[in-house]
Amino acid sequence: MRFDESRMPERLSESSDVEKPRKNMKGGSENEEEEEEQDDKLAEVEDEEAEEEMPSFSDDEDFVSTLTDDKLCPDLFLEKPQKHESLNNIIIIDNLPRVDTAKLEKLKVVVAKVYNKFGPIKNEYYPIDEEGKTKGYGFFEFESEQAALEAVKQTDGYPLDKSHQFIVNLMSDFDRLTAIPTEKDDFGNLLWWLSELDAVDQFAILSDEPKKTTIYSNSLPQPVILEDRSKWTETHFVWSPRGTYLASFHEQGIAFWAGKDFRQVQRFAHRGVNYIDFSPCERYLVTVSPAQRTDESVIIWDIITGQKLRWFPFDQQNPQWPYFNFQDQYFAKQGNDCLQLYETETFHLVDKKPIKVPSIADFQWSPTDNLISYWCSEAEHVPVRVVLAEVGQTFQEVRSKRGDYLVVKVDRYTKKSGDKNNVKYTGMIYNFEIFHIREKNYPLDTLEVKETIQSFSVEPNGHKLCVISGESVRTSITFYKILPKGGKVETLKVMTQPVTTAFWSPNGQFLVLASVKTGSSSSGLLLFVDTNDMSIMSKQEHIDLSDVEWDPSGRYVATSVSCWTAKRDNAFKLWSFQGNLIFEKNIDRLAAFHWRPRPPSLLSEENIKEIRKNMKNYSKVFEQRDRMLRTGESARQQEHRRKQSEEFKRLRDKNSQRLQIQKQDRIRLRGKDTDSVFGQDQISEEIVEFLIKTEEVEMK
Amino acid sequence: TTYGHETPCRTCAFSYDGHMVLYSTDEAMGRPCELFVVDIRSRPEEGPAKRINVTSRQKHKKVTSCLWGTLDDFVVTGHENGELVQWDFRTGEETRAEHPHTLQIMDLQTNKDLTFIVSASKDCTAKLFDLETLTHVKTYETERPVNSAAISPTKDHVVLGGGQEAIEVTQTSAQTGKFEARFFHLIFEEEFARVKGHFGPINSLAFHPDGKSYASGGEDGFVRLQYFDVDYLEYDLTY
Repeated sequence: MRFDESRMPERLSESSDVEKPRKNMKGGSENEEEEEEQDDKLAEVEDEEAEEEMPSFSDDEDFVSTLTDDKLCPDLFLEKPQKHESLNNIIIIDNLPRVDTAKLEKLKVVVAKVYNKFGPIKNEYYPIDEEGKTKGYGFFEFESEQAALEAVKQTDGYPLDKSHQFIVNLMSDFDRLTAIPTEKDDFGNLLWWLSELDAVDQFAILSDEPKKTTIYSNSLPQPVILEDRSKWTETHFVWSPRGTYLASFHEQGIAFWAGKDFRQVQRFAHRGVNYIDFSPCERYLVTVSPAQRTDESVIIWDIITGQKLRWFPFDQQNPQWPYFNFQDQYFAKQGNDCLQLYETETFHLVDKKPIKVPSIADFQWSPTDNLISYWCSEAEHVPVRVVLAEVGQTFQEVRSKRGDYLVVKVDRYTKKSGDKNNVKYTGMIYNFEIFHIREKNYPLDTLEVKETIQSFSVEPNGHKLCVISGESVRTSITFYKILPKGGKVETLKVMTQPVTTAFWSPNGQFLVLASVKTGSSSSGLLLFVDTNDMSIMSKQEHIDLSDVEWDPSGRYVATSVSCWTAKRDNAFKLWSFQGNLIFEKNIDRLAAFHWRPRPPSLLSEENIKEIRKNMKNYSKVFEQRDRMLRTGESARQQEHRRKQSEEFKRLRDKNSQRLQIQKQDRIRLRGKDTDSVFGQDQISEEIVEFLIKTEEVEMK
Repeated sequence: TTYGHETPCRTCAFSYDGHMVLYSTDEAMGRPCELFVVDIRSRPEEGPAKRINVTSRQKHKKVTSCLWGTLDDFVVTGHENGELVQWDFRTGEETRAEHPHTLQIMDLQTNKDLTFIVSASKDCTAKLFDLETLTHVKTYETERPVNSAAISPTKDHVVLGGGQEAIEVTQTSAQTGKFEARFFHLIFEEEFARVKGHFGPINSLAFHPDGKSYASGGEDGFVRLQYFDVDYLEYDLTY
């Protein structure tokens, strides 16, 4: 046995943990000696040692042994509680009710009852403050580390009563948790792109082979690549609803990228994750890994801290996952015959139990209010129902509507007047049920449509409904005006065009009717319509078109042909909202194209009105800037071209010199100079006369 | 006169002086790809003036296009794998080798004074090289495999023609065929015009030596002669 002399001064100055190599220790790394015991043992050891080895081991006077207890007397040692182990045996329970000594006994009993099932409690301690009340936390010591860990796992979050929920931690964690550095990584301004001088939007495209993701800035005169990374994501990418983050998918989980240089700002470990969903205010993220059949198939995370907040097993029958309401206050999950509504403050069920809704089929949050709408499929003798319910403190049914057999598609309206649409396919007759949400008692309008409805969409920020009905090529598009206050729904215009879907601009008024590729091919017809006067502004086409997406400002439309639908010509085109082609680019194996969303405008109503009034003044400035950018670009282009020509001229001159030198050789090879056989000036004209006919006339 | 072989002949070219013919045979039936140079003034029985074995040394792939170099001192060949090789045929040794394309070089053509060559490749690009040094000068990009490229004798233009693989033609509708001849500016590498008309991939292009027209032959079985109008002849990209 050797004493490590270098450790001695260390040992003297520090009275707490010192790291030493341990040969016989079963587990753990740090150890603290109990000094009283040490001295006892030391005497024994010295005796032993003196017998075994030659060199003298006389200690210095103030030497304290560096020998660990377990080496000295292993069997005794096991019984001795070591600080390291004892730390792991002790749990701290926080959030206990503050009681005075009288009630303390009762409290002790209650708490003990909870913790007894984890193992015998060795010790308990409730610190008391000056007033004689408990400070609200307590220490419990268990026999074994195991028991302590179990206790933490099971009782963390245990509700003692309505207002007290245990927060339990291991004592050893305590040091670690309090030692967390307070300064966070500064990721810079995550919303940097909004302050771009020209207010340009960004879009990201994903190409499959080579697997890379590219982010462009839609600047004048041409989109410019901002970032281009190979294998940025393994499958696809998703922008967060306010555009702050770009989420990429990987085998181990999801990664978030943000900031000016698109650094990784957050990571969520969830193996085999397939789908993700954001909460509308970007506070929470839901990840689903359906392949994993564990309890943690659906996980809800807090985006900023990266913590796992809640998890659920994945229900194969009911493949639904939690949806958040528009202000991230609640989230709801569909279960078997019930709707589970959770509050995000505490992540507990509102009212502590799910809301019973027999045969619930689907539900949706209103994007602007605390309303849920759901429909229940037909049960025994109960016809189908559609219900609008308000979520506040308690869940109440506000209005329900009966109907015949129906497939309900509830479409949501974004801002101002939230109209709601229901589609009923009642056998042969097709109806729309329109609820007026902004009016009292949500009055209902019915609209009958004679043909099969292909698709429909409501104008954001407006009052129009566009319905595309009919069969494949003979589709007709009908526009309805849904008047806000009373009045009926009136038809504005009917057009007949072979299109499949309508895409409204995010600000309303303009829309693009497109024939999106569904079957084997599509004509890719694009109609740009101004719904103020129902005129078709422009008719364009993008062959084999598969996706149409408006940019968040409503100025541009991007149409793309993805590699999933077409093998060749994968490209995207940018059009102005009036239908002029601005830019197009071929991307090999384009897989996805998405604009970066913008957060809702911070301007108030008055500000917006003000800006509209002074539009003329503003537009002058902007036009000037646009012109400058364009000419700047062309100047650059001209410069570039000039350089290229000069370079080429140099090469040419070199060649002509060479040719001059070789001219003699050429003449020798061919026998004559043929260099300018077909020059312009060499063309000579020859007039050739042919005798065509001879005639003999006898002269008399 | 006929020069017979056991394997198919793939490419051929006349020398500048017109006395020699260069041709290459395919790699087939166990025989390697070879380059032959014959003097047409001599009788076929005398055999080729020069015979170069291309593939048996495992260095190069089959020759898909060839032409004579300046003053008939060397030949340049384009290969199946996108290589471009220069041979001194008198010694039978290669003098330079480049690998500019990733897929087969379909066609090689020179400009009028034999200073540049343009190569058309299945990898959807055409490239311009200096004939003597084989240095890569320009690239012209398209989204379709390029089957043929030609340099205008009078203007700084190149024309590219190609299309989809013959096999794939029937799988897409006629309108998406895009069998156009595309005109690029020689120096600026920018496409500025397209000429429609073929309804099959274009396999071969050639400019008329006076630069006022060109001919294109396609898979559809048509040879189209296109005469340029005044606008084209006077057009110049401004800079």
